[in-house]
Amino acid sequence: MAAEATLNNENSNSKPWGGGVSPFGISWGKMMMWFFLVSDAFTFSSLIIAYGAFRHRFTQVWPTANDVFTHFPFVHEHLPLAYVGLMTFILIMSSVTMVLAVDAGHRRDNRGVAIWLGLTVIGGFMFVGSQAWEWYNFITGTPKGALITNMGEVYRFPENAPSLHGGAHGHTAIPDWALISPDHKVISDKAEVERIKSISKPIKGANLVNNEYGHPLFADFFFFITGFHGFHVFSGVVINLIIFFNVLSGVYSRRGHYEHIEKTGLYWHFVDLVWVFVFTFFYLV
Amino acid sequence: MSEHHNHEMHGYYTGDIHNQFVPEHYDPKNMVIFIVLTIVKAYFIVAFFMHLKHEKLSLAYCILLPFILIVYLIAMSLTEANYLNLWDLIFK
Repeated sequence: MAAEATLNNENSNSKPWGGGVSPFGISWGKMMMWFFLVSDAFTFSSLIIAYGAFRHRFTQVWPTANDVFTHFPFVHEHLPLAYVGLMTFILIMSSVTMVLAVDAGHRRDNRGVAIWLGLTVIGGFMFVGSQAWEWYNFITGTPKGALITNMGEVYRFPENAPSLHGGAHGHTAIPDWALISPDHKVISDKAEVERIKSISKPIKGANLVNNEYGHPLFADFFFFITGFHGFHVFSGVVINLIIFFNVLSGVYSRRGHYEHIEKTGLYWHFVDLVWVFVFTFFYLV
Repeated sequence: MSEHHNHEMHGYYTGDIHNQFVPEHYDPKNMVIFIVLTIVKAYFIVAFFMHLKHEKLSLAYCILLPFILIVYLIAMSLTEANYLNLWDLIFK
């Protein structure tokens, strides 16, 4: 037995999978973080692909993100996707500060790690706060709301469909009293508008059952995808905060290395990576 | 319904076979640009922020190859969804 063990140890010097060394050349902690992230990426992929499948299933009546996410703090005009663009910028900047924290860790610069990690935590809190504001606006809805027929079809008012006014075809003259059908057509026939109004009741805001912006599945996927991502950001902020206090109390400078920052950094970059995909597939395209 | 009910002003038809109404915001040209840019961004985050470019190739393969299954799932789900959508358009 002892001879065998010696033999294996000798082999391990030449073969990466012979035992005794890390075959991937990284610590087990970082490797397991990578494998956790792969599994987490599969979960997010499934959610986004499910969104894509239902969107293709109901292409004609799917709401346009440009007409849904138009709020910006202290601005009364419609600014489609400006706020979510700002949120994306904040999250990517907090990813950059995380890179700088990891870099400071390589230089054993405890003060640098504390500063950059602190900024990362602030960026994370700003993103979660922005997410909350986005949810608040989505749940509250537009001032005028929309109409839902007894068949469950949502007819919107032209003022809530700004993308139809300034579209690529330069269409501008939609009368105030017109309605926008679920498949984004302008109903400007007065008799037809009256008929729809007679079989409809008002609807305001969005929840898991009703959605004034159109198909209820859009709201369901919004809550699930951004909620699941927001939960990841929140747990990332909590983990970063714990690491931050460890840095302040000198845990890693006593330990002699800052690998913990690298592992947390991997998670934080992953949260950013997922948001890049959510931003594209939920908001942009 | 009426002459005002003219949806050609707000979108376009993707072709005779599908005869699908697509809102003008869903311009396939923009979609391709946005998706390509997203993949470029994802590459930079994974390769440099997450340092995968400088890890061993065996680790990179372990992490990246499983996503072939995701490509398959995308192709399968969207094909199925498009088919159900087409079914509705024909038999509604």
